[in-house]
Amino acid sequence: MFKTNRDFGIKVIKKTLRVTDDELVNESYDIFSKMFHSNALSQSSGDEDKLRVRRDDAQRRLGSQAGRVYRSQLS
Amino acid sequence: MAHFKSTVAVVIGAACLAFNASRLRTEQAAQKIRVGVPSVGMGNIIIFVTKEGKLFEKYGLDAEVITVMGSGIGSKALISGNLDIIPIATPTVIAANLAGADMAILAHTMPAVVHALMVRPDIKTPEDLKGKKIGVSSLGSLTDFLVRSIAKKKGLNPDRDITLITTGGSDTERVMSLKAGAVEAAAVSHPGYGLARKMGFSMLWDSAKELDYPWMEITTRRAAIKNDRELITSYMKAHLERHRVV
Repeated sequence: MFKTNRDFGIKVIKKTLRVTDDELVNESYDIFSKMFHSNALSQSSGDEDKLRVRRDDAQRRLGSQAGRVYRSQLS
Repeated sequence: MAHFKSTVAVVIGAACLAFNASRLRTEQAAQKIRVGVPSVGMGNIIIFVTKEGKLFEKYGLDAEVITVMGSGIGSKALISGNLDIIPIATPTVIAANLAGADMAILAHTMPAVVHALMVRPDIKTPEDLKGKKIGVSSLGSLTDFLVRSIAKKKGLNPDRDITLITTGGSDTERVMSLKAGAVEAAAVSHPGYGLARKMGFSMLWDSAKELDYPWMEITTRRAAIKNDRELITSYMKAHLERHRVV
């Protein structure tokens, strides 16, 4: 399909994004076909990063209550 | 000869009946599912790959793919029950759940974002962004989160130093806003940043190098899992299969 069939991938990109510039379409295909990996699990370090950033925002907006929620998710 | 002809006719007739019965069974079994797409871009291309590759049908799903403008609006559609499943930015899920929503992230699709902040050529440093307007897909979306988080990391106060403006759910719309001068910077993925570069705009930062952010979160509601576990499971089977084949 996408990773194993370049022509199919390019066709879907052109149809979906309505991009006609072949150079850009091929560049997109090359970048994203490498990015899609074979398992759908996230890396925990990435999730922790997101939780930390959101905790800071939430603490500013909601005060200590939000901080407690995020601490429990990070621990 | 007549015997041969009648045998061929019987075989063809039986094949047609079998084909029609099989098609009828597939149609009868197909479960309707409304799949949201928060922006038409490469980040969500896998949903369109699944649709074009007929993997939804393979798992008995009759998928209606609905485009909304960003995760912020997508999360509202999910919470209200107008969508069954949609990629929603994790920060939006967390914020909504803190406010009482019951969203659940089932999987991620990519280990990092493919995103950049494209700026006018006269903007050379993050400091130059002060007082500038930045185009994002919608408030509460991934682009909103990326700009706020990275601006903060660069020493800017995202609430005071910059103004985030909703300039459309697609990369092309945001690049066009940049070109038209409606904003001085825009958060875009590829091919958006490739297009902006061709137009003479510069990349101020590559978001993947600034934040460790697993991308394209498949999100649903806990109530949807409870009410129709088979529907969500079928979707995830299609999702996992396209991962094996992409």
